[in-house]
Amino acid sequence: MNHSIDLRRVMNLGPAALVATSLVIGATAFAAPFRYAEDRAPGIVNPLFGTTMSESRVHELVFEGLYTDDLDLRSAPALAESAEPSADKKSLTVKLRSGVTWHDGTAFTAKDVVFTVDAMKNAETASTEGARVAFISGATASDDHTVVLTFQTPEAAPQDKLHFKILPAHKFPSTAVKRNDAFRSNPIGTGPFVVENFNDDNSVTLKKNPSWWGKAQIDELLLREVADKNYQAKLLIYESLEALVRVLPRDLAALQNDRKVELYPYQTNSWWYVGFNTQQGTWKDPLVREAIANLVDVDELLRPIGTGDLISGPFVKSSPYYNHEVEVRKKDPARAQALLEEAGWQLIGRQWMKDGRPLQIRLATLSDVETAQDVVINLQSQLQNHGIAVEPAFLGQAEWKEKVWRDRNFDVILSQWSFDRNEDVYQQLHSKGNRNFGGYANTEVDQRLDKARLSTDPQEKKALLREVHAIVAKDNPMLFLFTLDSYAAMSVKVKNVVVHPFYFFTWADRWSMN
Amino acid sequence: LPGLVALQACSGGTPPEESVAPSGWIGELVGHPERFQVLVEANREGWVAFHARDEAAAIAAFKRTGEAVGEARAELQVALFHEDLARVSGLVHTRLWRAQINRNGLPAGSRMADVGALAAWCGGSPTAFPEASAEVAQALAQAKGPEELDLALGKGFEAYKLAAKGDLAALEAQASRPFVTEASAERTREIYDPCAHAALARAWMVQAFGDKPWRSAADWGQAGLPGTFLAPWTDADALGKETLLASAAGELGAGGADYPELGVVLSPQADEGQGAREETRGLDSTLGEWRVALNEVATDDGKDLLSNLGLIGRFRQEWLMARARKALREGQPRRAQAFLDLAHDVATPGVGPANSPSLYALLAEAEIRQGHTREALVHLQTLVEARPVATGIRETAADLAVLETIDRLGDSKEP
Repeated sequence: MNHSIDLRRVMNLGPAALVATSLVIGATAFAAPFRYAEDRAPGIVNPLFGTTMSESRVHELVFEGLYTDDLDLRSAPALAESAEPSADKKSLTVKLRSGVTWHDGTAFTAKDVVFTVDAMKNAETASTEGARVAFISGATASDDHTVVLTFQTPEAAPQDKLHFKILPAHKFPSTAVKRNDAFRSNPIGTGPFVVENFNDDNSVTLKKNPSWWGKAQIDELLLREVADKNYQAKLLIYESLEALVRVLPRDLAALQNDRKVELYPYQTNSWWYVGFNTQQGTWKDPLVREAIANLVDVDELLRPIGTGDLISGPFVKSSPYYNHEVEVRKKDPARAQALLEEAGWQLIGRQWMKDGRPLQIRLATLSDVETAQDVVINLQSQLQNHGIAVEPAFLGQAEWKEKVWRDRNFDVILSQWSFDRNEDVYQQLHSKGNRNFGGYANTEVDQRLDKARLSTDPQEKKALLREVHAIVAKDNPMLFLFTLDSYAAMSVKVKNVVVHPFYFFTWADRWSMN
Repeated sequence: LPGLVALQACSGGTPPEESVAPSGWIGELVGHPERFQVLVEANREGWVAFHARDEAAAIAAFKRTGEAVGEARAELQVALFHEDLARVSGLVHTRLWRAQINRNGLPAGSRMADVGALAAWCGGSPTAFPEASAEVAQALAQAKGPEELDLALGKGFEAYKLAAKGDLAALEAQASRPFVTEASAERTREIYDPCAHAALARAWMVQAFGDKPWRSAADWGQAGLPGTFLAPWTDADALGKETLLASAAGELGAGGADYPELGVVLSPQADEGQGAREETRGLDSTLGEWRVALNEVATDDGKDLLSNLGLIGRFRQEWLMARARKALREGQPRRAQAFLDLAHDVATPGVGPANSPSLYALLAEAEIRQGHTREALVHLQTLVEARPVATGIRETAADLAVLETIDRLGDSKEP
């Protein structure tokens, strides 16, 4: 099959294609692993500190929770074998699967579950996932294979909340886990694949776990970091990859028409936003934020990078919580001018000024997300035409995590959020949310988010979150931009593929290769 | 009929070895573009609308010109669309109200059990909601259809009575607006009509076939191209066989009459996607050969027709939708999902020439039957943007999606 490549076409693709060709030739000589592309390789592999989708996808291969999703997206036992709730539903006794071992051969026991809960709850750990165990008041090991979890309040279906990944207690000196602990680059789990190597080219090699309690079909996976999205599609077409996790809309037609490739819907409920640091200087003023929102032609931002939906709030349009009565804002420079003047700014020459200072945006985004850079440049051009200077800052992953996630030291950011099917925006919009980077605080929003979390009436929850949508659309803690249509692409060599709608690899043990 | 059954049994055989241009409507149009001219000159507006999936405009145009077969085919498309939606409606209403009553009980004065009973009754399961009021239970036991109901429930059943007389506008409006509005905590609960699409499907089938059965679609073949253009059957002969082989009008094309010609090798009938993907690959291989063969023999006009109208893509999508309906009826949603994912033209998303409204309704059904209600909303939202009549289903499915995840904790990540 590889010999059929039209070399003239490959040569026309430029130097990158030559690398692809060499890889193809390499693939002819050796049994190829399942190779998939990520825009960027995971910075660390430790589920306590997962912040990105690429990290989550690796976690899904390497680690397991007590429960996981079955094909019908119901909670099914993974490391748990069975569970018995107490009569008052305030505790759950979980029997663990026996005979499970960590990738280093150590036996998995109840101590690991207790350790994981305690580590996630330990304030010194500063886990980005801590909120996932907030409902647990305590975890104790009754014996090696039994753990008792007690809850803050009665839980109707606690298994639904026990999907967080379990870590090996014996690999950590205490429950105060550090992000830069050696575990991050030498992780072990109980899952179907073992991290074999972090390679020099930022790829990660994973091998099938022969001791796994289930049975994976694929022997080896290779995560390849390929920042150039155009290059990703070519690598798949020329059979140097078996999968692309996310296909750019502009590549969809070519890939759909390629008989060696199949597309799979992969809707991660993602939306793009410009986030204001509402605790800092200029951006505290809601009038200025609204003015900026009125100066941006969002459709113009979207068009060069793909097709999708413009949004008016913090949900994708297909969300149960999307408020269809809140219209997508249209560019309105006259309204923006009135708002800025009301906020005390004056247009002097071609620059908005106040107290001798120009209106200037330091706009940060991740350096290795190609499409984000395109949007930043476009946004810069749009705002500069209206007298607002934009100073882009392209941050590496480490700097982003430090400045945005940890220190909240930024003016304005451009980024994306991907949500699982629960679309819980509490962490992004509640004043106590751990992903509320901009420090947004509105008691009306907080009250509704709190109430929505406790509600068991779907119509009430839907109505509450649609109200949140309407409120934040007025407050503009973020400028909500758009969603992008999202598909994964897979070589037809890969069989029995079923993609989890968020974690992607949840059912990868069923996949096989010709 | 025995011969046809034998033909179906043979469909698992070896695909044809030689690449030949198809002899059906695609081959006829591409090989004889002048016949396309004749077809559209008589009914340009109707066929343009039919191609664009604007069935309402197509029906109106065909009525004006007296193109009876074109009109009936457009009416069948609308009937199938509502039939597809009716199954989705039945699923989401019965699942939502059953789960909600089980979880939270039945609030005093709420009609949710009555609506649940109505939904189940429309879907053929009249005893699924014993919590329904005695008045509703008794009325449902006696009525043959919603047009016979005189219950004081929500907006009532007047729209059904009008629909039974052929006036469908009120019922179409009822499908997209709350049927029952009641107090819930500090807000109002909006409940949509669970039977509207089933009734609309029946009414549109009557529009399409009058008092004849759907198998009378076989007669369309006598009309020539108007009976086959853009259809999932290749020619009049195949249509005739399909009307004998298929189990429902929506499965015309999936009966098996064309399988050998299409190079389709049936996979084991398990509910998984891989078999469906292999079957579709067989189909695509043959369609690829058709494309090559047609381009070799076609005039420039013929080539333009082939590419500009997306004739092969249209046939493929209609055929795969018929296969998906069959799989859904046979209780194989994963298999159906694979057919539908492959049928979906993702490069041109949304309802239009490239994607049928029924495609999105079927995708939603396949997802919901797998427990993927949240994912079904993606398709229902696309549908509502083109067909607001589906608004009630989107809202009900949204409530169900919320309920299904109400005990979960959310996860969010950066890219």
